[in-house]
Formats: sequence, C-alpha cells, structure tokens
Amino acid sequence: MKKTFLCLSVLAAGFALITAFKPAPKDAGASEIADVKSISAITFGEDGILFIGDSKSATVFAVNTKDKKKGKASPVDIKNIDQKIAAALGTVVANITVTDMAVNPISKKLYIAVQNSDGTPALLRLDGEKIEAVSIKDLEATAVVLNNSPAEDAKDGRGRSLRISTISDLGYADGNLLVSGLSNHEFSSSFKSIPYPFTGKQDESTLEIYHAAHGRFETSAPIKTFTTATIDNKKYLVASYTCTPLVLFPMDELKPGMHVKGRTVAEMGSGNTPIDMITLMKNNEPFLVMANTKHPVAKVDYKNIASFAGTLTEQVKGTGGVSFTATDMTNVMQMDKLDNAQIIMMQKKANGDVDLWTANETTL
Amino acid sequence: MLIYGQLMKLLYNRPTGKKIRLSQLLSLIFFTTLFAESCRQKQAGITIVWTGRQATAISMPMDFFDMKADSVLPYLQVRLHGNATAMLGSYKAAGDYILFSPIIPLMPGGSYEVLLKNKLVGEIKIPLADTGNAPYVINIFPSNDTVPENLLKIYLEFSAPMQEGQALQHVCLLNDQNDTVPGVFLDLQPELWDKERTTLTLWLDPGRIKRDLIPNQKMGNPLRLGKHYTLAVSKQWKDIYGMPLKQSYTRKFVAGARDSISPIPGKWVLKLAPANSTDPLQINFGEALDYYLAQETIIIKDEKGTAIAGKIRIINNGTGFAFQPKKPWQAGPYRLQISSMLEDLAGNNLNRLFERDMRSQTSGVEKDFFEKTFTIR
Repeated sequence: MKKTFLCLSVLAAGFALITAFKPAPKDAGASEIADVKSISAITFGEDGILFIGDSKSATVFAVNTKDKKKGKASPVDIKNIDQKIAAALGTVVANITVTDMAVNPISKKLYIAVQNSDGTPALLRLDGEKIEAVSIKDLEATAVVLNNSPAEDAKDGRGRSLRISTISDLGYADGNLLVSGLSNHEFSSSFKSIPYPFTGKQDESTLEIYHAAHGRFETSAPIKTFTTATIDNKKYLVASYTCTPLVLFPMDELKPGMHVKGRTVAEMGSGNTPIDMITLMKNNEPFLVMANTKHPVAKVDYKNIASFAGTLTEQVKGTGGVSFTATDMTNVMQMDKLDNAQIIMMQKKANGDVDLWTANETTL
Repeated sequence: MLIYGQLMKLLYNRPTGKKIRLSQLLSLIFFTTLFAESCRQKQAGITIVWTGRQATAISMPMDFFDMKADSVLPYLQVRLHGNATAMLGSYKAAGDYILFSPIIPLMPGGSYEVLLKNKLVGEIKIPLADTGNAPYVINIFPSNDTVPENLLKIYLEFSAPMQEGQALQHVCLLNDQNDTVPGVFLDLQPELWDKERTTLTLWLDPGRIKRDLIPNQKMGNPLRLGKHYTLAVSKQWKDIYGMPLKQSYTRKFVAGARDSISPIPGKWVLKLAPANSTDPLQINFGEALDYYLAQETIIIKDEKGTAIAGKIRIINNGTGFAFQPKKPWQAGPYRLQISSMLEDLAGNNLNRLFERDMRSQTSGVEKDFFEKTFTIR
C-alpha cells in the first residue's frame, strides 16, 4: 500500500514538474508565465521591471519583480560569495557560473543570475547578506521573441534547430530595451532597440555593425557588452567588441536596417574580452568603467572620448586611442552600478576566493 | 521519538565518573540498535524524484516525521552534506508526502541531509550517472585536413548535452611539438551552444585574426601557414548528468593559405538528378564552407517559388551539398536561393569579406539572397 502511495506521489510530483514547463510564449506583449530556459543577461528597467535575456529560447522576458520599496545604496561586502551561492543551491562552486548581476535601481537589491552546469538557470536576490530565490514563474511577465532570421527554422538531419542567437548584453535607456546578440554560426552582430512595453509588432531596429580599424581594414564585429552615455549633450551607445576595441555610435543614427560604422576610440589590449561596462559620475562628470577577462578594470574619461576627434588611424603599440586608466582591480567577473558613485563587483581575489564588494569613486 | 528521548536521557543523565552497570550497558546497546534501525527505516522513506535522468526533488512520507504537515513544513531544511546552509527551494505537502524541489537539480554523487528543527532526521545520496551512458564526440568541424590560416570557427558536436562554461579548460590546440598554443580561442561567456547543448562553437580569437589590430600585431595570427596542429578534447569534460566523455579526442590539421575570397555561388558546380527521381541534387562548392551555415542558408525552390522539402547533407568534408527531395523532381526550372550569410571557413560571407582592405577593395551592393537557376530534365 505504501509503495502504491509512493508511486502515485512520485508520479504526481513528476506530472506537476512536467506541467510547470509550459511552451515558450509566442505572442509578445501578453502577460504570461515566464518559462525561462537560460539567463544570459539581466538588466533593470523602470518600476522594478527586470529584463531577462534568455538565449536558449531567443527571448527577452520583462518580469515585474514588484520590488519597488525604495532602498539605500549601502555597500555590500560578502566573502566567498560563490561558495555561499553554491551552498544555497545545494551544489559545489565548480558547478555554477554567475552569468550576470544587476542592481534594482529602486530597492538597491542585487539580483544575481546563476547557471548550473546542467544548464538550469536560477535567479537569486540579496537581502542584506541573505540569499533569496526569485521564483520567476510566479511573477507577471511579458516577452519578446528575438530571432527573426530567415534561417531561424533551419534544422539538421535530426530535426534539431541549428541556429541560436546568444544574447551578449542587455541595456535599458529612454523607454527602449537594448539587446546585443552573437550568433553561434555566422560572424555578425545584431543590435536591437525594442520599445518597452513590448508592442508585439517586433518593430525593433536591427543594425549591422562594422568595425573600421586604423583606416584600412573593415570587419564585422559582434558586440560583447555596451552601455549608454551622454557626451556633449549627445546620446551615444558605447560598445565593446569581442576583440576589445571601444566604439561609439550616436544613438540617433541607430535606425532599422542601417549599416552603421562605429567610431573606434580605443583599443584596450590583446587577448582580452570585455565583460561589463558602466557609466559612473565623478564631480558631475561621467566616466566609463570597464571590466575585462584578462586586463584590470579600466577607467575612461568621457571628456577624453569627446575630444578624441577621429577614429583610430595610426598604428599603436599596446593600447591606443583615447587614454584610459588601468586600476589595480583584476579578475572582476561581474559588476553593476549601485548608484552614480558606487559599483558592486564580484571579484576573484589572488587567493582564489570570490568576493562581492563595493567599489566607489575613491577606490576606482 | 520516545525511544530517542529515553536514549538521550540515558546518555546525558549518567552521573559522571560512575561505572556503567552491565544492565545499563545492555540497555544502551538495545536502545542504540533500536535507534539505528529506526533511522534506517526513516531514511528508506526518503526517495528521489527523477525527471528523465536528473534528480529534481526529494520526497518524504508524512509518517517519516510523526507530525502534521503544518508542524513540519516551517521547520524542515535540506542541505548538502558538509554545508551549514539550508538549500533554497520549495517544500510542499502533497497527500501523504512532503516534496522538496530545489531550484536546480540535485548533484549526482551529492549527499543531502534532511533536518527538522535543526536536527538531522535523514540523509539521501544521489547516485552517480550510469557509466554505460558516457557521452562522446560525434564530430569536429571543419573536418578537412587543411584549413585556411585565418580559420575563424571550430564546431564540436557531442552525443549528449554537455556542461557549459568550461570549454577552454577541456579544449586546447597543440603545435607540432605537442605544446599547447596559448590564447588561440576566444574566452567567451556565455559560450555559444546550440539549443540542445550538444554543439559548441569556438571562435579563434578574432582580434588576432584581424590584421592590424593590436592582438594581431602583438601575438600574430592564431594559426601559422604550413604548421601542423592537433585539436585535443579532454575526457574530463562532463555531460549535464555528470558523466565524463568516454575518451579523449584529437583532430589533426595543417594551416593552409589565407582565404580572402568570398564564396561565389556562380562558380558552384551542380550535378543534377533526372526528372521523376528522388536522386540527390549535388553541389560542389569548390571549397569547404561552414558546415552549419551551408545547411541553413540554401533553399531549393520550384518554378512557382515554393521551397521544396527534402533532406540536406553536407558531403566531401564540407565542400559539397546534397539535397534529396521528398517528392520526385519534376522536369522544369528550379532555383537555389542562398542567404548572403553563408560563410566559408574564414568567415567571408557572400556579401563581404571577414576583413575588407579599404585601400584596394570597394564594397559592392549587398544583397540578402543570391540565386542560381537550374533545369531538371
């Protein structure tokens, strides 16, 4: 009898788990259960809306965290955050990857996207030093499906989908969700500006971005990370490619279907991939902070960018273009802006520990 | 619980320094045995809930706790053995059982402890994956012995979904001295996996391939003309079920001449099938093209412009394409429609080169599709 009950319960549990995985949303705009299959990038919009970039389903979900109670931008300092996250998930550090993190600009709580080695995503939130789970499927959500390539339905001999557009970064500026994507097949970049709330019309801009180096070679250049900034009262997209150059695009030139050439303003060095870029303020002047896989966190003064008239034309040794300051912060794995003067960083220390801490304009 | 209480009383109320009488010792053995048996039975009650090959929940019968669900749920914790932190997840009463569903699947080989009011009440170990299901490498593309020195991508295809985020720990390129060539691949997170997580795209560092960029100036092209290389995949790489690869894999190739020419569909040689047959149409590209893009970007359309259904195969080490229609070919005109995003092994697509020398080349008119017509007789 007990065995029968057990079997029934296990079956019921299995059924409950299966039914929890509903098909991916097809219609953008409608409120629905966010069936998030992966979390490549996260960013906050307004009113506690968290955008979740799901590369596996080529979808960005906008979920209402309802986390709208104004909070204080208090510095955090948590040692061995990776071990604490792993313990909370019931696994070991080697099995988890922090794919992105974002501070809710209202509550100032930090949201951390984690991926288990089996691909299962998890969204966590810090309340003080306490790690909480955010149950995405219990939140109101809308979604926009990104793939609109003519080849999106191509399948191989086994009927598997071939192409996937990995979301490399997300941003939100002036009512628009900004999405940069990398393809797993063609070497190209997609950059979309999608009005939010989603209209369901897929009226996003798609840009083809080229990289002009030293006035001689022009190449396609997938964007890895980006931020937005205002320089001399003009709005810019500040992007960094997989091959590290720092590039500016005037926002008003980013129109649907345009072939846009970025203005390369700096090369940040070799063998490096940019991780995150943030715009901070110091004495009412904006400056760019950039974390890298190989190089230390770099600071660039936007005034220098503004005064750097042309694109890079001269060959330079090491790094070139706009001057930047390399800080002593290396191995920064993730970062986000806590407020205009503070950044929360996840950093691998020299002893191998991964700590979460807050840098400010004095330490930067 | 009563037995447990008596045992504890016996153990903790024993006056210090006094000798234990034989009867007390026997009682201790009796109660200890009872306690151990009681625990064993309780632990037998904890079961793993499987979803496919993954342990996704722990089920505990209510009688395991001798209490009502309302009294148990707020005080129940599950944690990985050796950790003081309770795991995140949901605890739900489902009939006579309590189900704990963690946020991520339980770790193969992991021991999990169940605690009630901070007291250990049971433990369960998740078995390791079945060694008979070890994953293996199905293919490595490109499959040619010779690749252009400006090769841009390598694809690894596995038999099972693999653990992500660890590719560069398990893949390396060796030179002809069997030394690892440093900094060849771009360290890209998140990695570029397909939806099934069975095919990984690795980019050779584009900053090193793009001439005149600082990485190229400083470190040179990742591959050198005429040099022999071995791509090695470590058997330590595990699939999502925690099972390592069946064996290590290697693929040898040599770096040939730089490819600085876009694929030109006009130069492709077609081998046509006779009308009323389902024989394959074969295309000879004259060079190896991207294995996946070649499958995605070429559509065969009939006279009315309707795409015809059939099976695509990439043949002859990526230099050829075979299309077998589902229904027999009809006599008459057909056309190939090729998306301009089709690339060769160096990332040159139909519209543009991976890198265009602006001093000597002008950019032509870019098209979304290229077409080539043929007639079936």
